[in-house]
This record gives sequence, structure tokens and C-alpha cells, in this order.
Amino acid sequence: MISLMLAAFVICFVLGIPLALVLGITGFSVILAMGVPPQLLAQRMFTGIDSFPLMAVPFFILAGDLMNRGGTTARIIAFADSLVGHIRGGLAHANILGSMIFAGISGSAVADTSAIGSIMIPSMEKNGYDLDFSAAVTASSSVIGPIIPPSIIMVIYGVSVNVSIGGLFAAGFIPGILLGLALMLVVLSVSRKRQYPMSEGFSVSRVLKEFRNAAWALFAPVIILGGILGGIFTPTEAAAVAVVYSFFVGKFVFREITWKDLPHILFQSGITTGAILLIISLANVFAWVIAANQIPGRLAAMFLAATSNPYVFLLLVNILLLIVGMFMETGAAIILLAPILAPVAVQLGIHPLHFGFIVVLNLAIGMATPPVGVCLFVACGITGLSLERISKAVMRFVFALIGVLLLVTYVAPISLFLPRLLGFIR
Amino acid sequence: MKFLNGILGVLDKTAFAAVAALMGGMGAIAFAAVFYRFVLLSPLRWSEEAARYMMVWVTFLGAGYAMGRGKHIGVTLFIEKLPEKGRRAAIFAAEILILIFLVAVARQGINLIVSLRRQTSPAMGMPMWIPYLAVPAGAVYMFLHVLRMVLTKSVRVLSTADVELDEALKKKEGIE
Repeated sequence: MISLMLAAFVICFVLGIPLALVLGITGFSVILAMGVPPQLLAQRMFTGIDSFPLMAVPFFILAGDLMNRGGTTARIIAFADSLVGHIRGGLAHANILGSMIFAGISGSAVADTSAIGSIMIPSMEKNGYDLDFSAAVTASSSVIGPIIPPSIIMVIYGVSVNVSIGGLFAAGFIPGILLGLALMLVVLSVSRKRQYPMSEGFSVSRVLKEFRNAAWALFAPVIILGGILGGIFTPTEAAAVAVVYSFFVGKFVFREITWKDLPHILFQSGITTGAILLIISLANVFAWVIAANQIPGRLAAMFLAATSNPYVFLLLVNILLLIVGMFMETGAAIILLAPILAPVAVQLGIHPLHFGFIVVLNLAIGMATPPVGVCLFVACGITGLSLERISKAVMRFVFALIGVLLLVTYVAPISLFLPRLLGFIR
Repeated sequence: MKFLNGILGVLDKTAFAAVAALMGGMGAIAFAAVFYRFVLLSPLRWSEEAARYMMVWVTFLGAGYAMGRGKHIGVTLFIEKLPEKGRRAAIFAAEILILIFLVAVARQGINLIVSLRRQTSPAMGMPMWIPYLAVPAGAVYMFLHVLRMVLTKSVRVLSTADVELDEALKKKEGIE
């Protein structure tokens, strides 16, 4: 049975069949071979996505898109620039801080790259920054998008492994800030060497002015984070509030969304939702098949035979995920691997939230890592540079991100402190 | 072929309207539920169920549309390395496999509906065939799109590295 599963999976995978269907075809061929009622296929496909927590995914996609088209991004960047623009390499710092604030609204790294990048990269170029450097800063700081809550991939992880989504959100907050600081350190050292410019100096009145301008946008993360982390809203409820809020701001406050745009925005988010949720739907078929064949248990035994040391296990997992993350889309990799790896981690005494956060962070870094990093592709699109050029420039940032990953992996309290404080861990 | 194009044209238009309406409806219902729960302090009973079933329909209609545009997530690394001829053969094989699978999904989806035909949903009392119909409907919609690719001998790779990617790149072109 296992060899049939492997063969079907590998053949479909190599043929370039969409991952959702790879999981479906593999799952269904094993269901047929096992002789269980084939209706199970449709049943599992339906129940896999008939889930209220999962609804945070379409809502966060939609809210991010509404916010972005509603004129939020430019205001956030201006505010970030008023805070950090006076440091050497100011626009690069503003790019990173802007990403961190944007991360509190959007849950997607790609949205972050395209939103911040399309405004920031041209203006950095005008001010004498090297184009590949600007692209690399934008792509690597986008990794923070799904780390500072809200986060679409954390929702996917929470639903597929059944851990608290609110808890994962809380776990991401402090490490997200650390990632930003680590990137800023790299920027600082490069900027000193290359004498990148800075703005004239820090002025409180400018900060206040930009804050007033961006206040409507800055209030969105307050609702989302405050609502979820304070335990008032479930993530799905917060996401629904974010959708209505961002529509309200874009339509009636900033007046940049028209009624004519709305069906297109809704439809585009619907297509993205369809592509992601179809994977979850068919992964639910696949999950039944691997559970029925006791694969997680066998893999756990294999891992445990190799090492019973949680630190070694985490190192192996990090290496595995960094490699997988280089080639596979993040959400898809989580849906595929997390349900297999998480039980092993729990057996080794690693906290489920800690492990979940490591997986999410690791795969998020994969989005800015060559050869298949979607944020790099977007940065290529914006700058017109080749993937090779940007890949070279992004490496020093990726090493900084990996440094934070290792720190978070081996110092559990960095991620677990906030969930514990807020009562997500009892 | 003309007939198939006609059907898919109508289906794509219908899917556009339906997906946009369902997404908007889901948002409105979920927001109303929050409002009733926190402001009016009388939670709605039907809202969660309604929004969930709408999401199931969004998924399968959206997935069908995405299929026609090669917007499903996959790993195309290997197939892009192949020479022209091998690539064409591989894409053809993939398309046939997908067609067979989608027929199975449609069939099992209909079987499931037949066996559940008397069941109604717990909160709204809606007949369960309405949400479950999304599964075979989505399968047929995807089937027609893939069938068109086979018939037109399309050499397009079937998937993309990321769904949001094309959209993000397109937005950039719009700005310039």
C-alpha cells in the first residue's frame, strides 16, 4: 500500500499536476486499493473545508486586498519613514518597519512584497540605493508578513494540526519584531559601507502629522491583534471585522475603492481562496489514507529510533523544512508535512505551539529563499532584475532570518512567552 | 469545440458573479454575526452554517475557474526542464490523469448526494444536497476546462508556484 502511495505521489508530482490533485489522485487510488467505499472521497473533500476556523483564510486575503487598494500602504510607509528615516539607510529601514506594520493587517508575504515594493523600490532607486539591494530588502522583510499576526499560513497550520490559531498568532508577535530588528542590523552595516543616504533628522511634529494621516490604517492592526490576542474575537470573527473595516476605510475615508472595483476584488480573493482551499479539501482525503495506514506512527518510530533528543530532532526538521520551503509553496508544504511531523514533536516533549511556530517561520523564510521564493519572483517583476542578481543580494538577509529561526528554535520562551501570558497555554 | 467554448464562456461568467456574490455575502453574514453577538447580545443561530456552506461553494467554483487559467499551486520545476517534446507528452499524461480523477470525484459526489438526499442541515434545516452539490459541480467545471486544454493541445504548464503571484505581478504592470 505504501509503495503504491509513493509511486502515485511521485508520478503525479513530477508531471507538474497541481498539488491539490496530486493529493487527491494518490488518496483515491489507495482508497480503491484498500476496498473501502469510494464515496469517502467526496465525503472527505466536503468535510475538509466545511470549517468555520478555516474561514479566516478567505477573510484575511480579502481584507489585505481591500486595505492595499484602499490607499493604506502609502500612508503606512510615510509614517514608518517619519520614525526611522533619519537612521543611515533610512528608506531601507522604513521599508522594513512598513512591512512590520503592514504585517499586522495582511497575513500574506506576497501581498506584502507587491504592496510595499511597488511604492518603496522606485523611491529607493531615486535616492541612490542599489536596485538589487532594494529588491532584497523588500523580499526578505516580507517574510515578516505571515509571522506578525494575522497570518494565513498560521490559520492553515492551526486547522490542519488542530492547535490554537490564536495561540500561534500570539507566538508570532515577538519573533516578528526580532526578525525586523535583525534585518535592520544588516541594513545598517551595508548602508554604512555604501554610504546610503538618510533623511534630515527626527522630528516629533512630522511623526505626529504622518500618524494622523495614517491613523485609520494603523487602527486596523489594533482591532485585529487586540481582538484576537485579547481573547475577545476568534480569528475568523476578527477577520470578518477586518474585511468590513478595511472596506469602510477604503471606500468612505480614503475614497480610493469604487463600487465598480468591488466585484473584481471579491472575485480575485475568491479565486485565491479556491486554489488554497482545494488543497485543504483534497489533503483531507490524503490525511485519511495516511492515517489508515498508520504512517505518522511509523514515521515517528523511525525518527525516534534515529534520535530521542528533541534538539537534534528540531535541527533535522529545520533542515528538512528549509529544503522543502525552497521548492514548495508554503501553505501546501504545511498541509502536507505538518500533520506528519507534529505528532513526533509532541512525543519528544516539544510544545505543540512552539513546534507549530517553528514550522511556520521556517517555511515563511522559504518564500524569500532562492531558487523558488515567491517574494523574489515578485521583486524581480517589480525591478526587472534577473533572479540570479536578486538571489545573490538577498542571501545576507536570509542568513539573518535563519539566525533568528535558530534562536527561536532553541529558546522556546521567545515564542511561548506571549501565548502563556495571554492564557492560550494553560 | 465551439460548443465547449460557449459552455465554458457562460460558466466562467456565472462563476465570476457567483464567487463575487458569495464572498461578499460571507463577509456580510460573518460580520452581522459578530454584531449580533457583541452589540445586540443575541447571537444568530444560522450564520455560521450559512457562511460555511457559502465557502464550500466559493472553493469549488473558484477552483474550477483557477483550473482554466493554470492558477493552481504545484511544482513545475521538473517539467519545465524537459525538452519540448517530452514536456508535451508529460502535460498530456497529466491532463488525462486529471480527467479520470475528476470523473471519479463527480461520480462519488453524486453518489453521496443520493445517499444523503433526506438529510437536512442542523441549524437552518436546509437540504444537505445544496452544499454537497458543490463537490460534483466543481469537478465537472474543472473537467470541462481540462478537456478544452486537451482538445486545443495546449502546452501550458498546469500549475503555478503561487496563486497570488500572477496577480501581484499584474498589479505592478498596472502601476507603470
